[in-house]
This record gives sequence, structure tokens and C-alpha cells, in this order.
Amino acid sequence: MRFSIYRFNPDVDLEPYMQDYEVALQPEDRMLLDALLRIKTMDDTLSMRKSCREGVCGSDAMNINGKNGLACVTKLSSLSEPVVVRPMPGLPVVRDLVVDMTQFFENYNSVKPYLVNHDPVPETERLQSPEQRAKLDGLYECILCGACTTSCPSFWWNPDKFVGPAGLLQAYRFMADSRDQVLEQRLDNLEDPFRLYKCHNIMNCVDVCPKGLSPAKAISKIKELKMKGLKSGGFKAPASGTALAGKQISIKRVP
Amino acid sequence: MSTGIAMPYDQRPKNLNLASIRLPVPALVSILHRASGALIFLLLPVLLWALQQSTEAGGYAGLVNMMDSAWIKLPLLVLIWAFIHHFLAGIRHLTLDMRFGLEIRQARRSSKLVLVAGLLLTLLTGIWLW
Amino acid sequence: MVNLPPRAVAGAKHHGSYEWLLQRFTAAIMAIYTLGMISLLMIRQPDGYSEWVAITDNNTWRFGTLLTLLSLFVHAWQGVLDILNDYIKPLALRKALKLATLLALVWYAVWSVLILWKL
Ligand code: HEM
Repeated sequence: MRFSIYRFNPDVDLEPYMQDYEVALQPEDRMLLDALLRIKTMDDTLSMRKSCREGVCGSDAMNINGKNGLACVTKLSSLSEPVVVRPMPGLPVVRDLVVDMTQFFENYNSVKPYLVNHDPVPETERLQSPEQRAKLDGLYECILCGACTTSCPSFWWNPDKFVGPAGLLQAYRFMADSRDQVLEQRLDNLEDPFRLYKCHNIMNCVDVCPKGLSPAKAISKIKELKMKGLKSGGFKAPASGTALAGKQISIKRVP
Repeated sequence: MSTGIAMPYDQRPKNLNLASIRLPVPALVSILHRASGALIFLLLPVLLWALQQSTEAGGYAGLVNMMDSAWIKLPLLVLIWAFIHHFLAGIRHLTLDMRFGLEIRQARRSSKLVLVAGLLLTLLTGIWLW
Repeated sequence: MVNLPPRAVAGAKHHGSYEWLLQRFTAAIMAIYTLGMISLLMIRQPDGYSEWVAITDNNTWRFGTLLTLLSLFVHAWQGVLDILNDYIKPLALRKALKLATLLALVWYAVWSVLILWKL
């Protein structure tokens, strides 16, 4: 099977280039990741991320024949040749198919992706009714692989200002949680021309999500909550410096 | 050979070769919505000038005359397409904002509809005008 | 316990929701006008200057058209800002283009009044 793979090693290459491989696949090679690892036995300089190799960890997202997806759950039989494999778009390339996800995680972090509840910690769990719990379906399953965010043109042009589909899906995941108490602040946290509103319903995010989730729907739910907020008292942009303003936790790069 | 000095992250290349990235139909409709909006914006002075001309008998006749020239017809058709596409894609956008048709299959279908209807209506308008 | 700050202070400059809503509101006005104008042209089938004048020489048409044109200019302002923010990265150039856009649109608004009332 023929492959054309994006190569870049910052220590030796000035520019990225495409390298062609012709691989004799073995019967057990069924997914793209199998083929890439087969190639790695021929050329061990080829770099990629992978871990669980079954679509759970979200490590091996890449651009496959133009579409973002997880190499480990992309069937080789579904791909036309030569299979063009490139790193996810819009993030700095560390090497070959490995991109620097710092910006992605900073944006994720900026929406405070955790429950905030000021009540005294109860003896047992904070219980939800089945209906309340059902509201989180389609939101909690995200594995943060980055496929959606890096397929989004709005993210390409404003990676540091637009939160992106993955981060916004998580923002809504906590807005929709009956145990969370800071809905208003979460909405204010997205009040500027970029963080939420750079979404133009392009829907590439839904197109590529390997988990079949819909960040577009979550985003439009957030906009709906925003409009309800308008009726009851208007919007405020968080002043810079407050904990929910913009992004303030900076994630240290591991050298 | 390794130089031992890592390239700073902000100087690293990004994979943004747009020709290599697939463009689904909804994304095509979206970028054309933007392009058509920009085109109409750039041609606003021409449109206002035409409106001004049409308010006087001489100017009106002049505009009618111009419409017969092939050099005007083609750009005019492009402008008409831009408006129709922007209009249809805009209506689709508003329905999505009201949370109709947000399922990906519906969104794909409505984007195809907008694309085709835009071209078809442009054709019909052309026939109607000339 | 995580402590989040109180609701942000009022008066912060950068909004997004109002602009977003305005973009939709102006779009709706233009859409209604477009449909109305198309119906009018279909019904009246104006052929020649005098019939065009018959449609346009009244204040209902003038104010409707002015409202639509003003909506258009507000809409275009938001839309062009959006485009410039995405593609024009040098700050000075982006600011210059925004200013030029604003000035052009203000001029178009004045010009529209001049045109509609033949001043
Ligand atoms: C017939 C009426 C129109 C409708 C229904 C309409 C609808 C829309 C909508 C819903 C948006 C928001 C898109 C988004 O947030 O991504 C938009 C954006 C825009 N519109 Fe219109 N529009 C109309 C007429 C016009 C006209 C006449 C112009 C000419 C200047 C224009 C220029 C733009 C521009 C430049 C954008 C920004 C595009 C972008 O950010 O990608 N629109 N339009």
C-alpha cells in the first residue's frame, strides 16, 4: 500500500516535506495506525503519538487524506491511495505527525472544565436524577484528541482568541450540569467577540469527531443561554485579571 | 545531524496547506458566504451610484443601455449570484442559529440545497433580465 | 473549595453578544426588504423609467429603503470587521483598514439620504 507522509525534523530540516512509502502490509494490519507502525519498522525516524490504539486515549489524531481522525480507528480498507497523512492543521509541528497541543489545552483550561459548587462537601456523592444526568450525554464523552478544533478555520486564524469546538463543548458540559453553580460566570467568561462568537457554524467539527459528538450543537446551546441572559440583565465581559477572564493559567511546556 | 538546539515553538511550521485539507460542502457554502459578503461590500459604491442614476430619466436610460453590454452582463451576473448565495446561506445560517437543522446530515443537505439553488436562481434571474 | 470571582464588573469594553445579535437583526431586516422588493417587482413588472418612478417616488419606499440601507451598513461593518480580524495580522494595517471601512460606510449612509431624497 502506498503512503505519502508529512516529514519534519526541526533539528535537520528547514522545511517540512512529503515522503513516499510503499509498504507490504501483513494480514493483521487493519487500521491506519498498524500501517504507520509497520512503516516505523522500516524507517524508525518517523514520529507519531499513540497510546491505547483503540480510540479511547485520543493521542493519534492526525489529518488523513485531508480529514482529521484517529489513526487507530481508521480502517485501511476505507482509504484511497496514496494515503496522505499529515499532522493536525493549525498547531506548531514538534516533529513529523506530532503537534504541540499547548494552545489547545490552554483554551480548554480557560473555560474552567470542572465542577464549581460552593455548598459544603456532602458525605455522599452529589446525586443527579436520570434526567439531569441525561443532559450530559453527548458532552462528557470527549477524549480531547483535538480533531475538531484543528479542523476549524476559525481556530486556524485565531488560535489564541477563539476557544475552539473542543473547549466550547466542555464549557457547555459544565453549564448543563445540575451540580454546577456558576452558570452566569461561565457565560460571562465567553463574552467577547472571539471566544465564542468566532464560531460561524461551519460544522467541520461535527464532520470529523471520532466520537460522533456535536460541538456545533453545544455551541448553539451556549448562544441560546446567552440570549436568555440578554433578556434578564445583559452581558458583561469579565474584567481582565479575574479568574474567569480569558486564559490565565499558562501550561508549562515539557522541554 | 542534530544541532542540539531545538527550534522555538513559535517558529515551527504549521500544517495549513489548505489544498491538502478536505473542504466539506457546508464549509464551502460558509466560505462562499464570506466571499460573497466581501464582494458585495466592495461593490457598494457601484450599487449606490446605480441607484442614484436610476432616479433620473437620463441616468435610467443609461443604465438600461449598459445592461446590454456583454462586459457588464458577466460581472453583473457574478454580483447577482453573490447576493443570492449570501441571502440563501444567510437564511440557512439564521435557521441554524435558531437550532433548526443542526444534525450533521440535515446540515449537509441544506448546504447542498443552498449551493444549487443559488446557481439556479442566478440563471433564472439572468433569463428574466435579458 | 474553588473560589470564583463575583460577576465581572460592568463597563468592560468588549462584548460579543450584542454584535452577534445586531448582525442577525440587520440580516432579518434586509431579508424582509429583499423579499418585499422582489414581490413588488414581480407584481408591477416595471418597464421603463416612469413605472420605476411610480414605485420609488413615495416616502414609504424611501424610508423602507433607507432603513434597509442603514441595516446593510451596520451589517457590513460587523461582517468586514470579522473578516479583517481573521486575515489581517499586522496591527497597524488592520486598524487602518477598519478605519477606512468605517469612514466609507458613514459616507455611504450620508450619500444614501442624498440619493433617496434627491438632494
Ligand atoms: C439579504 C440579506 C442578508 C442576509 C440574510 C445576510 C445574512 C448574514 C448573516 C446571518 C451573517 C452572519 C454570518 C456569521 O456569523 O458567520 C452575515 C455575515 C456577513 N454579511 Fe450578510 N446578509 C445579508 C446581506 C448582506 C449584504 C448586502 C452584505 C454586503 C455588504 C453582507 C455582508 C456580510 C459580510 C461581509 C458578512 C461577514 C461574513 C463572515 O464573517 O464570514 N450581507 N450575513
